Amino acid sequence: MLRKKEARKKAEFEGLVMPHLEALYGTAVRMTRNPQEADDLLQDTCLKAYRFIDKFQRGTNFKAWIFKILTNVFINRYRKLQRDRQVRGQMERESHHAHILGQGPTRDAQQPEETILDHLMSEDITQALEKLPPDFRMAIILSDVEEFSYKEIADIMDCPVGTVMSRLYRARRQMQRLLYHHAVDRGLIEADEAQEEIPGASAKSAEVTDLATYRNQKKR
Amino acid sequence: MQCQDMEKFIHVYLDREFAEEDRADYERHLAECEQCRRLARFEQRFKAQLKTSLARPHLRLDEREAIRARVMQTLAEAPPLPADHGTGRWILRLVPAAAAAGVLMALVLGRGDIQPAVVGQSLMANTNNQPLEVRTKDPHALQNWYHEKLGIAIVPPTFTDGRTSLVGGRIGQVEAKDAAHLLYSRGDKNISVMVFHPENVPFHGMVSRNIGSKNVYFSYSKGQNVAAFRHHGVGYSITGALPRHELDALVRDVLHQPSGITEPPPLNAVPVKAP
Ligand SMILES: [Zn+2]
Repeated sequence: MLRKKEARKKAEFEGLVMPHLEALYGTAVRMTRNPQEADDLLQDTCLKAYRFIDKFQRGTNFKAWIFKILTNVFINRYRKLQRDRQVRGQMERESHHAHILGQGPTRDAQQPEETILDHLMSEDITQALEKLPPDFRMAIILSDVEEFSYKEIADIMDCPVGTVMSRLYRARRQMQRLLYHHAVDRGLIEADEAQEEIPGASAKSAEVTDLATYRNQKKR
Repeated sequence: MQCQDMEKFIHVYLDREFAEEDRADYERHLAECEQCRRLARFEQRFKAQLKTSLARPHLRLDEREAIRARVMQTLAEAPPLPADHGTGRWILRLVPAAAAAGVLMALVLGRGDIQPAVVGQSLMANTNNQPLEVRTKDPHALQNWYHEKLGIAIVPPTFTDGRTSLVGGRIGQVEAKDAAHLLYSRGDKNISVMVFHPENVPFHGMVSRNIGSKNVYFSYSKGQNVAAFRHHGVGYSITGALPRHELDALVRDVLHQPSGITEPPPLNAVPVKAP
């Protein structure tokens, strides 16, 4: 009888998890940057989710729930936080002098709407993503690929919504910087070309923290 | 509202995370300001490009099926209950104070996701390049060496992949007890097999999965996979920088072999290495 119950539980779990398998695997590939490790991460995630399935409240968002488990398993497997922190510190120091992608016109001044985005390939973008620290990478995937809301991302990454905003802001800017340098290296644009600035883009990245800040600034 | 404040919230706007009123204000500025509009257009295109470029990697049908099949297999092998109480017998005598400290630590740290000591100790053993105390390809010679050192003949497992071969052994540690650390080479990589007394060696915090009918515990750190399990009253861990399915094969080999020790010596006769 116990076996029957167990089998039913497994079947129910399979029904929940199978529709999200590709999303989970895709995220695992982006996070681990290695198909073999992605597969291990996926297996561990499914096992752990199955073990804790009683903690999942029926009728709530299963995709967000299992992504939270994936994130946890990933973090536990890759405790290289210290190194990542160093890398990030370095990137931020760089950013003070860095040009930001799209900040100025490209070669063809007659076509102001053309940006270096037009020259970039998918590979350039995946490579830039892979250079980001894991929590930035995760924020981008959750938002831009899986289209979770800020609130869901906050829940998955176990942080306040304000932190999600600031991670996404910094992650996207960092990617743009990486892509800008990449484009300069490949000769797609010249380093000094981006002189004419878009006012907003030159802002010394004061942190985006919450909507209260936005409302305060609005009043000025 | 100034343009530089607009910039900071451009993603909030494009991600449609503004409340209605905030969005309306934001759009009022956009309507009036060409520069901010240009930035918004750029960011929107950038977002769209992220979405297309980073879309889930395209999988062929057979790849998708293989992944699905592995998950089904993993679930089929998932143990019904996480609880696990080993029926360890003797092998290596406890060092009482240190063992008690180990138990206390497990209590303080709780279950959670904290890795048990056996994981760290197995990883250290495999990556630290500690000098071997005996270097031999001959399993019998090694067995005799352990018998001399520990009073127990540890039987080195043999692997059927044809490329994992014995290098030698030393005395290692698992929790606070002596353990046999057997070193193998596999191409240019080390594989470490720890053979230990399974009593008071918790595996919780590790992911478990069945291999055959055996509950096997897994962990991963910095490129190294660890598998730990109990077999015939003996504790084992196998550690190496190899993919999980290859590690599974090594585990299977050990599970097909008889006990890793030859004869049970009287409990009190087991010498303990001086600390
Ligand atoms: Zn403006």
